Amino acid sequence: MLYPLPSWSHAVLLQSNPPHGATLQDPPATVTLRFNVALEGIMTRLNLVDLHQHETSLPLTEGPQANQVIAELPPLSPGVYLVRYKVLARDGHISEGEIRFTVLGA
Amino acid sequence: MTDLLEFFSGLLDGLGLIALAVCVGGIGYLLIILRATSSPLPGQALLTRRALTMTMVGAFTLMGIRTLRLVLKPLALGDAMSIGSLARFLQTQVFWANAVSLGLICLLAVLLWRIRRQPANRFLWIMLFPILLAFFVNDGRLSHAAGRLGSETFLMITTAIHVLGAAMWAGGLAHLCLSWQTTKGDARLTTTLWPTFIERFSHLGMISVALIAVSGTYVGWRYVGDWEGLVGTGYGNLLLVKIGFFFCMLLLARINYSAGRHWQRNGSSDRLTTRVPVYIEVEMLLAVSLLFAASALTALPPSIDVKHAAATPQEVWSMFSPKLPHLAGPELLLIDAPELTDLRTGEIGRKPDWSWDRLNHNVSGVIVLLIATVALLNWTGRFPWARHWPILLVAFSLIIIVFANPDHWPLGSIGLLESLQNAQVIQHWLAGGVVLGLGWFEWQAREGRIATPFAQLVFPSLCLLGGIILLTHSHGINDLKVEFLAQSTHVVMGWLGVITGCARWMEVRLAPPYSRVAGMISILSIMAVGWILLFYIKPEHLIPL
Repeated sequence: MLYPLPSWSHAVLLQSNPPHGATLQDPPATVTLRFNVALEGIMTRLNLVDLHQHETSLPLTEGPQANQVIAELPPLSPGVYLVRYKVLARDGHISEGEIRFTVLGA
Repeated sequence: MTDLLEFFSGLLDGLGLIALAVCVGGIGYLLIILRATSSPLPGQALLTRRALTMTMVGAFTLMGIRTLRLVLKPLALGDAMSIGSLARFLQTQVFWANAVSLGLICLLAVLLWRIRRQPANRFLWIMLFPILLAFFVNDGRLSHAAGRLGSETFLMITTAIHVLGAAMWAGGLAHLCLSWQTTKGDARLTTTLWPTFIERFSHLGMISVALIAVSGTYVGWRYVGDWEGLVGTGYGNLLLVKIGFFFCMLLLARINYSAGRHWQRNGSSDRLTTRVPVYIEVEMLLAVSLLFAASALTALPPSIDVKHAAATPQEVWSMFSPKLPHLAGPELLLIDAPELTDLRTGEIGRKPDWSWDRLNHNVSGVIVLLIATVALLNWTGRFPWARHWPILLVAFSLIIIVFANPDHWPLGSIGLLESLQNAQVIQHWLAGGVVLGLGWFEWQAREGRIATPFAQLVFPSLCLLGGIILLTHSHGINDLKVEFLAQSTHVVMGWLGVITGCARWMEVRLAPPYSRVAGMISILSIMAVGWILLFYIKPEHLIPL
């Protein structure tokens, strides 16, 4: 349950905010992912998963570069969360993976 | 589901490259070797017709594969297919690049069909060139270069040249094999046409090799960057495998070239009609393996993008270096347990987990080494009982079937019906079934109990298939160092599987002393696989409880 999966295949997640494995005092408002290749933005999918395996689709906003994805997060209570992504690179390869972060309790 | 569909897409890409090679290499072969439009040699009408048929079949096969790939892509993107996701996919650059390529392949296939009916029509032949040019230019939009940030037109062009060179060489080899199959029954043709084809193909091969080497060096340098990237990443690892196949092919091509020169100087076509056809067959098998490795390479992130996670040469060596095998039982390891996270501190919990992975690999190593040792004794000719070594493969297969899934039937608590619904269990049982068939067939063939002449080629063919699957499977390598380290051993075993298959193929098809040398190479390759399995460790689970 909730194990971080590596990003499969061609597009590699170079950086994320929050970073994978981060522990945060305050819940983040957005999640930003930066990949090594340009993406077909229209096909990008990001889902938020909590400890109870509830999965919510995240609304995306336009990233400043073709290799960036930004999504808005709903208000988060303390807990461990995964952001699952599935992207289509411009060279036609599909990649999927996850990042995990923890929001601390008061 | 996405992983499975992407895995099939990877296999389809490999098959697509082979079909492209048969088609494009066929056009080159018809024009440069058979000289179908200018000065065909007497007696080659049937050869030309057969080559045209195979070229056309290559084009239609490519058309089918690209269509299937285009259908699979949106399926892999949305686990549940919907009109909305399909409509979005139709707006992507990926769709349009694929669609344009598919349209051009359709044109090419129809044109080849017309040429087959009217081979003397030069206009139809000329029309092939703009279509091929447009196809290669457009297909560059589906290469790694298309995903780079910024304009990479030169990289796309170089990639297209690389694919063209590979297609000319690999496809030419397939057509050369077809020509041999057509001429070998006619003594007149084998002493006139065949040597001419070999001599002409040497020149075509040299041009292709030059195109592959120059463009490949540039593309490799752009994507790999440095020596660390070559040794310490999945992309670099698979590139080394490709280079390994390339040099094996060059070695065989050099032997064939020498045989052609010998014929030119002495007029003797003996070598050309005995050993060279076998070398060409094996060169073609290597080319097929290389094309599958190339398709797997396109699914990997370039080394320059994952330098932060590259393994050092010492870390790579640690996967292969001699060490005490772990044969005592499963390992107890600690794994992350996010559900046990302390929400006051954020510390991720850990829990114990039994891992059978190292035990299974190391035990397999012992068995494979035993198989190779008995095969080696058989090779010496002094131990008649050792000819039964394939029975050990049958025993090995039963061990795979029983022990690969210790939690499942027949050892574990999970019953047979439930086990049949588990994909991993099914995969292990299928693998066990293949090894079972491999051992049984080889044993029967060596004992002469199967009369068909192709019976002895089943073992090398399955070795090749297994090697290719290991290479293609390696597209799962990602930027994580530990995963690359685990997979690096499997990539090398895939390469050795192909070499085992090729060497055994030559052992079966050649006469002594050449068959003896090939047999030894085959056994040494199996032995090398055994050592790798024996020293295998799991780099991501090195923290003991």
